[in-house]
Amino acid sequence: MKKLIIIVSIVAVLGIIIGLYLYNKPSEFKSTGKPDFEVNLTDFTKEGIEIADSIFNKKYVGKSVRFSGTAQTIKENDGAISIQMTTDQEEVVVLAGFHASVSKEAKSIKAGDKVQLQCECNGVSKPADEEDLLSEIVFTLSRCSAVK
Amino acid sequence: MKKITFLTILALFALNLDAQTFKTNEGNIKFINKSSLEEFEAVNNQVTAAISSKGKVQFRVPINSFQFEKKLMQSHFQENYMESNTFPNATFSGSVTKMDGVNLTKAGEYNVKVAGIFDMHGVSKADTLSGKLIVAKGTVKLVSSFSIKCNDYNIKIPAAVSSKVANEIKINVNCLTAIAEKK
Repeated sequence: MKKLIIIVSIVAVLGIIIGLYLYNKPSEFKSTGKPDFEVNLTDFTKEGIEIADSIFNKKYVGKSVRFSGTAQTIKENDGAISIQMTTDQEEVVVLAGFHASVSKEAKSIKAGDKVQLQCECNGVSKPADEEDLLSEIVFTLSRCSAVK
Repeated sequence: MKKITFLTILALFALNLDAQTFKTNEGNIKFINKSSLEEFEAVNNQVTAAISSKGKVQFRVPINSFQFEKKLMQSHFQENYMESNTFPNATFSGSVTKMDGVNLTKAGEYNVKVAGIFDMHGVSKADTLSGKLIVAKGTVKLVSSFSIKCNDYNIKIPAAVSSKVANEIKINVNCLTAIAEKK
């Protein structure tokens, strides 16, 4: 009986420790490892424009995407860095966001640099109608990291 | 002839001013959860926001861009509560209720109310938000602080975590827009 109580106590303590570890595990601020998709940026945006948002978003949202492209503009906001990539389509914007904790690697990127990035895809947004102030087709990517 | 030319230029100038739009793709929204057991916040620096000189206001918030400190909270928020695969964006579209005293070309701070429609988690709801427009040279900062109730948007918080995740969430908006285009 005593032995059983000790075993149950050890299991309970281990359970609490594992639970606390999982609960307090910090978020990932950048996408690393093998990506879910490795894409050509032009094909990626073309797919997002041509197919319904819902289908595109079901496929890519929350998934890691690796792509190459040219940085067009780099902006800083509250420590985080946002890089707008050059696209060959009008009214199409690709935004790659770097978390403040990895902004150092983003700051080394200059406008006009060719870069390979891996990010988490947050989806595509399209204007609802011609009166929409948000008139661009925007592809949002976050938790980006520069691939060496 | 000179008079006609002058009037034409004046009319075109007025038309341009009338249709000026200020935009950003790097707006900031923070949400703060204060429950009986836990307080935490998440930050989003990828908010698209726009305001026109006519007083039309729009926001688009990519849900997955919210960054939490804890991984478990982030995945629960994205997958279980907001179902971001199905509803990747939250949007707000509205108009400043009294645009008479607001001049987006004149530096100053303007307290405004914006009436519009929130669209989040597949639910559309009318609301009026109070906020401030801070106008400086070529920029308009949109600042607001308000609360939303999760159950209004069919966001279900499981009973097991209801002591940690509040039904009412505070939202702070801070979006610095710049002149974008003339529509």
